[in-house]
Amino acid sequence: MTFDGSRLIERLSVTTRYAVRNLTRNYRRTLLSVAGITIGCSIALINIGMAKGKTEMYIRNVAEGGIGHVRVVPGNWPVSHDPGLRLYEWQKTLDKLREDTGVVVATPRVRIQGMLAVGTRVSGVMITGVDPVAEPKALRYVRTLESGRYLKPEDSRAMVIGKSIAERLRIGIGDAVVVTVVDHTGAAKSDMFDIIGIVNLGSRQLDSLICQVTLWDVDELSGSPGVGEIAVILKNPGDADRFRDRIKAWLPSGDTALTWAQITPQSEVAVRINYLFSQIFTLILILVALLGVASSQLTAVLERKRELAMLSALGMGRIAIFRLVFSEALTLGTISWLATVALAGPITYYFARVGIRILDAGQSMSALGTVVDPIMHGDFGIWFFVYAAILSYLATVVASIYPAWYAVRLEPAETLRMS
Amino acid sequence: MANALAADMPRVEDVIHNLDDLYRTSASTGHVELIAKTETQTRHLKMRVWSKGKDKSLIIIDEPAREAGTATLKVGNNLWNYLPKISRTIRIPPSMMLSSWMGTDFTNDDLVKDTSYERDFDTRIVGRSNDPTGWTGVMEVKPGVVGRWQKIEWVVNEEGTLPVVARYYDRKGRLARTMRFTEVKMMGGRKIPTRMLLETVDQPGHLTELRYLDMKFDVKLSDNLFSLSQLESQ
Amino acid sequence: MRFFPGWQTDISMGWRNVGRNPTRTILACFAIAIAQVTLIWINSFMNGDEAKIFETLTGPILGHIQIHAPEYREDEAIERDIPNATALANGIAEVPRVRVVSMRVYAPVLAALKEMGHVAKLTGMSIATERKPGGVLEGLAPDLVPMGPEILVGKGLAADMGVHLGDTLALMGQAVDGSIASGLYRVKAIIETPVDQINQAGIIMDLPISQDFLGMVDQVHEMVIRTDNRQYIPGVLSSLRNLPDLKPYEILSWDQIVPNMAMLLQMAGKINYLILVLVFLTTIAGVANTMMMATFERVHEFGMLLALGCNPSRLIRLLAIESLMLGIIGVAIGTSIGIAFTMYGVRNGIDLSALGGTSQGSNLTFEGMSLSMKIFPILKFKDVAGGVGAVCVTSVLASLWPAHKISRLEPVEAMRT
Repeated sequence: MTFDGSRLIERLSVTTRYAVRNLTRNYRRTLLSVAGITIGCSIALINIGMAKGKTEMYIRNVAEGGIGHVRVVPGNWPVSHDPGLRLYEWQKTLDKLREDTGVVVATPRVRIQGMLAVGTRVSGVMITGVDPVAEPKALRYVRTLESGRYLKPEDSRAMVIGKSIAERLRIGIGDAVVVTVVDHTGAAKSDMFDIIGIVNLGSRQLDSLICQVTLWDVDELSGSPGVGEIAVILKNPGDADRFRDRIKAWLPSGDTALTWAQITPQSEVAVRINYLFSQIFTLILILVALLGVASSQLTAVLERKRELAMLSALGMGRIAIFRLVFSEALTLGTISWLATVALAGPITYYFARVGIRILDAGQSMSALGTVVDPIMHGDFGIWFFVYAAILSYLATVVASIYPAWYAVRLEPAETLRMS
Repeated sequence: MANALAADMPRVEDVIHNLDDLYRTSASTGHVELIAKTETQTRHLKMRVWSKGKDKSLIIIDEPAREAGTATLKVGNNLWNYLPKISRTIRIPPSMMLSSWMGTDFTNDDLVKDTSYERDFDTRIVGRSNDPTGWTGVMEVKPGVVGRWQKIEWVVNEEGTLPVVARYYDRKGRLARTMRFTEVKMMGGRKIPTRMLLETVDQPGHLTELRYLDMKFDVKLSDNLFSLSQLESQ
Repeated sequence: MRFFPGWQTDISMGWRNVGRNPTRTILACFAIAIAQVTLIWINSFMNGDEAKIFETLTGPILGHIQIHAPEYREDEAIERDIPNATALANGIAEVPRVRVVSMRVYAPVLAALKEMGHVAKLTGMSIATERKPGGVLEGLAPDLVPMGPEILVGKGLAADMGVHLGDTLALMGQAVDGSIASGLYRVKAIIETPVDQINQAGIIMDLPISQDFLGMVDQVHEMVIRTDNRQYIPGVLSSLRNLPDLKPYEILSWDQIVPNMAMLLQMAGKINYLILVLVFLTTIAGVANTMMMATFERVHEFGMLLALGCNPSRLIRLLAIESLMLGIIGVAIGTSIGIAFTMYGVRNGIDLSALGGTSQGSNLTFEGMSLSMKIFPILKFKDVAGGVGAVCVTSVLASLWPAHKISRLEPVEAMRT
């Protein structure tokens, strides 16, 4: 057959019109098809949204557990982990980071090993000097306190500790502790601090990590000014590697940056495995959905054998029949896409916005809520519409290939005779 | 009555001075016994001690035999332990300075701290004490002082020259430990309590006792004594 | 034609119908079989995954059940020990469903390569036992096993101290009688374990060597018990609590020791459940769609039957039987394939590191030790039965509804398609 442009359009429009009319005439079949495709694709999409959200949640829990998505550290830190190391020109780096549009929050920290003493009771802790305004945004653990209040920039000699430390020293809000550290000359230096806040993380091990004072207090205690790290929380955690590379370009040469995956490889492995699972399941879901759609589409075509045979007998060429089935599929695909967006869209959006509560509100372990986000959020974005289209068309088109081919191969007389 | 009291009452300034200077000396040396009792066992240590100024001290254990030769040397901010069994000297990281000394209820800084009651506390004499007999005094920590004790209650002897009992209260005003000073003797030209018993409220079954067996005060000690080589050759 | 009311006829009719249209039958069975295979496989995988997470979280340091002297967990005072440990451990091993009893000794020590002391945590454990699967030292090469006064040093601690293989470390600590404990030990290997604390500040010694160092005679700080399976933990726990020899001690299950872990597991379980629901809906939707489509496309055929005098309710019954047969056939195929797939996984495990590619992240080879990243699916009868039930019910219901609608039609109407 010749593919003359205008005749093509004429032919196409005939088949398309027939296709559309076919679909509308047999609306129950159409409805069923659309329903099948839509449900299959919607479920797959909702799962994809949830899977993305789950991965993000895991990463967020790691990052907001103090690691950050990216951390700026002194060049030697990856090797020695010495809290005495300091960043070059930390204020400049901090300001520059805060200006970056990809950054949600950048917070400086400096740590020093110390002893807290109350009467005859002592407790060794790692004291962290923080920026009181930025820290809660970066560290989930200090967003909710069990008692007292969190640090303020104007505080001096104030301390927030974990509950297990408070219990070991048997102190509470308003009590004074003697803090002793070894300063940069190696001499022991002591000062009095007031406990102004207590954090309960429900875990003895985690609690004992929390001992926070202001940056300036650690400065004074240690006699070694400056900051040991800057933790960064990004808007898009997936960008961590790129962000790190980007800032490494302008960081002072003595400093470097690491992603959370580099700092805690075990978490990275866990997240990666999780992601793997999600991908596998999504794949399986899509496969199953496609198969379901394919089998129903095929069934539909089989039952239309007579009709198609009739068309063939009436002179419709094989390619035309093929095109007919195909354009039906395309139309179906378009309708399904719209239906999928309408059905799965709001649901996926809801999951992204509001989330699902995976920790029951009534549980006594409310403390765990400070450790792990109790609500899992899905993801939603442009990807949704794109994936919906891909899935819908894939479902209908792929599902129609065999039926169309089958329909083409029919012998009209045979078929008409048989039924 | 108040007048009669006032007549016998020692002067606060003198008492403070006496307490501050009790064991203070330019340099000293002697033999000391340490008894650490817990619910399950009792540990007897006999040691030779040397100290010079505020920042040098050397302690060598003589008994029991299995620990004999173990030594602790402090010079300034540095602390070392010599372990005879393995002939090695280990430096104690500064972060461990506050931990217990030789497994007793004393802390490392207890032994070598620069306390000054005069500087850090407001003292007043409350009145007579009957059991034990003497005078009761109270020291309250001055504002702004860095220290673990909110208050120390003393019972001093009749003359106000020696402590008898000291009760230490933490910053929450809770009694944390009690120290008793007994067996006053002349030693090294001074009249001192030679037996100190420490009871910690948190550890009811524990009792730590320090006994001076003999002491010489204001002796001449060479700086070389306080060195690692000395440590290892003992 | 005359139709005899009677099930036997319906069945033989249904059966013949099924055979008459092989393509449609194959398609329907296909959808049904796929659904069942998916359900079985995903469930088994999830079971295996949850079991693995549980194993990872509760071992090797945590175990299933732990025994300590009273108050040991609060202050970790070394004199709070469990005496006559060997006899006790033997007694515990006799309790049914107990698989392994491990004993541990813990003490803070100062370790020095030259002069500078570093704070470290000494753990004494039976190295032979811990090298077995599930132990802390799983995968430790035989030539790295400490003999006599040799120790294993955590990677982080070694880096901090500048320690290498073959170095001799001086260790200083406090013996249980309060006296100073000291000794010289050769570094046999520098290791990285699944336990972060050990890597950062840990020194591992064989149990008798550590007991010697601390002046302990057949005393330990901790007994860690693993049972045959998670479900036996409560039973073993109460058995242990009833043992007269163990009365003085604190016996706790893992979720009492780290309740947060229990919470996290629950949370992971819920997320898995959500995924399962999605998978279930998808598979069922596929089955339903196919069956409905198949039924609707036979409008003409049914119209014929109705015109010939077939009772509408009989028609529905016929259809139900047909659908049930399809369901049974499909489910049978699906179940066999599903079980076959799963059994392969059960025997060989699914190697996640292979799936994840060869990048460093998914390859869990730690220094001196290698850990398997395999998940072993767990096949449970209730999953298979559930699948069978759900799929059959769906296929029947999915065809009944259209059948009901069709049966209401005027036969002529129906035949006009």
